[in-house]
Amino acid sequence: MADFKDDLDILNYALTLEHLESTMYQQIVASGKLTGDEQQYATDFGKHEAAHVQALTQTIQKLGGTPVAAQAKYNFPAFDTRDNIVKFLVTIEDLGAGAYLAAAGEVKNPDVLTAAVQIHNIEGEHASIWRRQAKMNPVVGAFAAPVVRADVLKAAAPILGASGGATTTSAPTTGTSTGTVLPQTGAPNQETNNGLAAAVVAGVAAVGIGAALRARSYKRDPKPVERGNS
Amino acid sequence: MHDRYLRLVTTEFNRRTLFKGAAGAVGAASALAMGGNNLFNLGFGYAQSVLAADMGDLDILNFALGLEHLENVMYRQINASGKLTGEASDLAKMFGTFEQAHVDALSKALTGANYANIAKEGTYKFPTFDTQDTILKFLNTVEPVGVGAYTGAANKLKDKSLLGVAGAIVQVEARQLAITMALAGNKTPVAGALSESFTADEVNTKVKPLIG
Repeated sequence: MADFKDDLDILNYALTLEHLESTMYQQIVASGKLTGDEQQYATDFGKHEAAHVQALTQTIQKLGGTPVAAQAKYNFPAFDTRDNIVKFLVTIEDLGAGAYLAAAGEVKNPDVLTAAVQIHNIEGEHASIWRRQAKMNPVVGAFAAPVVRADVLKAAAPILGASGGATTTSAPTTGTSTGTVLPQTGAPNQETNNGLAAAVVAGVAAVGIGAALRARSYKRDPKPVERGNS
Repeated sequence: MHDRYLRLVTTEFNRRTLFKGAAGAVGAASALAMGGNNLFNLGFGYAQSVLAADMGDLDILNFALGLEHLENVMYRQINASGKLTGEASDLAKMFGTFEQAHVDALSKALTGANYANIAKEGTYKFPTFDTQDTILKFLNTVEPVGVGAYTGAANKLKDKSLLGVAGAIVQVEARQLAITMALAGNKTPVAGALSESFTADEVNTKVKPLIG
């Protein structure tokens, strides 16, 4: 069962997240609560997100679609302390990386897929840097965890607010900032996801991929024959 | 081209082996399974200009496995050197377990698919791991090759379900890279908005000096 209708659907989904991240970094950098290396990271990563916004927007236009616009307002938690900011950045960057990972399999256009993987990698890199700053494990497991569309939107919904990522820029989101980070319920726990994903991938993939490939009628010898030529 | 990089990543490449393998495998019904002009159809005397696009999915996984073997041995030797301390030491140990997990997963998948000539651990020519700086600098040249290889291969995979595993691995390689860049003191540990993407040929060129 596909999560996405087509590439344009995936691209606008990604663009929704990139708008969120780009705006997030602008506000964080402007807050002045980060200093030194961390302010440099935020400044640079913000430029990356802005570049992602631009690339996705242009791609959508080139494909004849209508790029979703940035929201006028996002319900970010208060960027009041360095600790709260870094914690939030970990959550959002992990979420973005997981979102791209889950969506990649449905991308049809090969050039779009390459770009999606390139962006996906950078979001993972962002996440690992902020995890290190938060004194968290920067790479949670041998295999990263995908976060499916429904879970991404559930996690992002409080931030996107009532407009929920709608394209209109005129309607502000209702409600004010709750001053908290994403709610624990509904927000996929990246640590758990990674542990589970790692077990699943390592354990099942080995058997599953092999089985799946066999099932697609590879007519090979039933057991690997050592054809080493003597 | 397949010949060249298979020889690079597997110390025991044997063309006759491969041809014999093709004879047994040529009965495969599905074009998807055989991947069009893939290695097994080509036998002897194929043109050196075979493109990465002609690689079957299993060839791609095997190519990745070759790189993972290299990285696995690299981390093993780095961790054995005793030249990393503190955070770098702890993280390198952890990253080493991940590379081993990548080797294991890809090896098992290829075994399960009865792929012939699964890439084995090779011998490599690494620089002397004599200081933390040297080690981190080297990691920062090798990790991007892995990231670029998976990224370049992504849109070549015909079975889209393999993107899940490839993506799960490449994100980890990318995360590791950003960390080793930061540990090396880079103020811009994430180099740009898009990670690099390499063709198999480009990967070969970069990796060739490291193959013993």
